[in-house]
Amino acid sequence: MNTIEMGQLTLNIEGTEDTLFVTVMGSINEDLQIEKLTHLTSPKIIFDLEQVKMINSCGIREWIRFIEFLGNTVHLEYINVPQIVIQQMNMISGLLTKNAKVTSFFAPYFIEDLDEEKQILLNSADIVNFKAPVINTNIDGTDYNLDFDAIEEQYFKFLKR
Amino acid sequence: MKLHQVLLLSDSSSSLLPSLEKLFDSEPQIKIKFISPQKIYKTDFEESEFIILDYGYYLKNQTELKSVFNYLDKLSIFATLTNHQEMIEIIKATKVSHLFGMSGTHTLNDIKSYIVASIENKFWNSETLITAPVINKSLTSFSTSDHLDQQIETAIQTHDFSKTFEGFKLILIQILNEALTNALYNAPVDEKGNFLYRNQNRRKIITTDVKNAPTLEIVEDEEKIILSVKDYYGSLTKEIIDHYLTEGKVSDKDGGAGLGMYLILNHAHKLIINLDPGKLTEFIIVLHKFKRFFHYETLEKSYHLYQRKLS
Repeated sequence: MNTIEMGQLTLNIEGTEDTLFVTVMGSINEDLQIEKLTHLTSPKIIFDLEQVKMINSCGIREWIRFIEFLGNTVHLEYINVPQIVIQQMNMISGLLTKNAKVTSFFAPYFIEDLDEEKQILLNSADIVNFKAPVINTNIDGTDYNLDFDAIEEQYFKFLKR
Repeated sequence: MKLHQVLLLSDSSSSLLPSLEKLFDSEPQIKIKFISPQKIYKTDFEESEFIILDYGYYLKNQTELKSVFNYLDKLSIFATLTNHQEMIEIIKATKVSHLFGMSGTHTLNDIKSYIVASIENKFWNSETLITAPVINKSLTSFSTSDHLDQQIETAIQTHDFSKTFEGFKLILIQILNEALTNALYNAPVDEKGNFLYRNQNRRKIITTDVKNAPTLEIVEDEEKIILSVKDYYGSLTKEIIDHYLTEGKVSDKDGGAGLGMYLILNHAHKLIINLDPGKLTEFIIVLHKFKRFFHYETLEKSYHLYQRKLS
């Protein structure tokens, strides 16, 4: 495994010649330096974003520049995308490029009976007609329905790109 | 006492007017007259100090009303907004400085506060916006951009987020990161008005003297948190705001990415920008505290830009 640290951002890289797995941790911001990532060449790169805390405006710009540097022919996947990044992808066109797709992401659900929220990991393939999947859970022997806790058309907007 | 005429343009004026007039019972120092004529004449625009336009009404009467946008300095718009994108589209299309998301009583109170503040040549501030007893208040100065996120986390640590959804604090940090980065890098000018750090790489640390350091005031009641970020240069202009507020695209310019204001607008329930040229720029961001993200996302939004010379 190869680790690259840039300010508040850490990338752990492992994989094969054909596919790189990059775990992104911390804040994607102005500390992201493309010149430290020029060796990341592979036909396919999977970015695990679960541990991304924040992506600010400079981080958005630097990430887009990084993706542009990688080129159109590289196949990019984002997995375990947290809600804060999904929201940014929905707000900023160009953050999710044509050669990239979100394979899995976290979405907010709410258990009314327990007055509790839950972040549920969803697969993009399970979103049909931009409708949130029905989720049930069992806590201490009791079954609960979870309500999707966002506006579907807005939250799943990134899937239309 | 000067009479202030307010022109209200809406299909619902017969119900809105009495409610608005009643709100002014508590402002005896202000003599106000609301009009909402069946047929609009140019003199109505010219003689009115305020024009309050229902956007739905405008869309049905575009031909008759297109000249209303020649009176942008006195125009405010209210609209039923279901999401931030609608708000952004209206601001982009009209360049209006005041857009109220319509939600019944709240909106009318806001319209009244806006009229009063304008007549009295004041800004809206956290005192205007707080509607319940203050439960927490803090003030922090930021004289350096070094470890800005850590400084922000320290500034907010005394505030309680236990009754909000999980991502609420992150949204707050995001907003403050953008607003304070703008205040530290984009605001400072020299005596000739030349920007000092606007084109600087954001990795380069800025340190400013305490006297000119931007400040963050946080005021909190049970239902909302009000963030006020001030810089003491007053170099932001409406032209810059018009360019970046609704664009939402990465800028290739040196310095910042050109997205900060847009991201703040997208997250805020209320965004107020106060400009006192040469003296002060203030970003006030109001966020209502909700346990559920759905309620946070569906609350009506509003946007206000005040330009004043206060002294």
